Amino acid sequence: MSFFVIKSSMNKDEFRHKVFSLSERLYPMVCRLLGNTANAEDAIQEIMMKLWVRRKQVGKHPNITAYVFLTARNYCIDLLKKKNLPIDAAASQLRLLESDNRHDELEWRELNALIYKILEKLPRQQQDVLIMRDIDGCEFAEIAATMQLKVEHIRVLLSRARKQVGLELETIYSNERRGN
Amino acid sequence: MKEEEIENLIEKYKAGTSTLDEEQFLLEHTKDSESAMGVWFEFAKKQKREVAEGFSDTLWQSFQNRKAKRRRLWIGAMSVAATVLLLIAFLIDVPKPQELSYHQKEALLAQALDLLADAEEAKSEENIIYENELIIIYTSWE
Repeated sequence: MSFFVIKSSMNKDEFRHKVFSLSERLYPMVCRLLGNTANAEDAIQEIMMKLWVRRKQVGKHPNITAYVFLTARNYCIDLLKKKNLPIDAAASQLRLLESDNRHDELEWRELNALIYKILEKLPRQQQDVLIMRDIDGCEFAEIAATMQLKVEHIRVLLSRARKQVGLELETIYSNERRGN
Repeated sequence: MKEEEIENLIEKYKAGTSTLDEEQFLLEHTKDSESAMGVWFEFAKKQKREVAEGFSDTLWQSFQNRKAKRRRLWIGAMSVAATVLLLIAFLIDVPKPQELSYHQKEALLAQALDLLADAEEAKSEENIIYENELIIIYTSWE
């Protein structure tokens, strides 16, 4: 005789292993969206609290990672709305970088400004995908879940964005070389 | 890794088919002076947010504390609510039946007396002269 036990919700250990462990993957995106590292840790805890309350639903979801990423993004957007802050395209959420020793301050600042300009010219979806992949280091499945698009579509958007960035930088470089 | 291999990897990168590990390799091994793409890699590398080692574990501890604190708060709030409800239940006055004022009582009594007076009057209108088991003889004003 055998018994089948149907588990309706995940326990603490399962939650830690399957859901909470994604905190590390969420962190760069949440940080960028909220523009502050201290807020990001707090936000991740709140997101996890929401997911803990809904652990029954989360446990049944066919794609837990997708569910967690989407919840996180929605939480950040709601938070920005509550604070009456604009929900910008990804490029304007990037930090202004300081120069390092390898770069001349002015040259580095110019370069940064150029890259921001190139990014801002990209269509919004391409911008978001490029930044989620190259800066937040997200997997394709995670990006697809957050943007509610298919992985193949994400690859196409990403490829277009990367090619465009390469092309624009190439043009600037070749003009510079010609100028020199 | 040879230059040619890096070139191939960049092609893969542009096609959107490279893995995260391959992209990490590119970010670390392409110098910005070498190619236009290198400038982007340099920028992306600097924009990346480092996640501290053991981030999830540290956060898990504070998550547990937060959960416990929230549970205590919840229990506290519920007990306060229960106490308040109990107090309200005791304090609420059960409405007593409305009492009549002295004047209203007086008026009611007068009304009742009036009715009685009518009845007596009606009775007195029939003036019995003789009465036995078979017959009643009376006078009336009608």
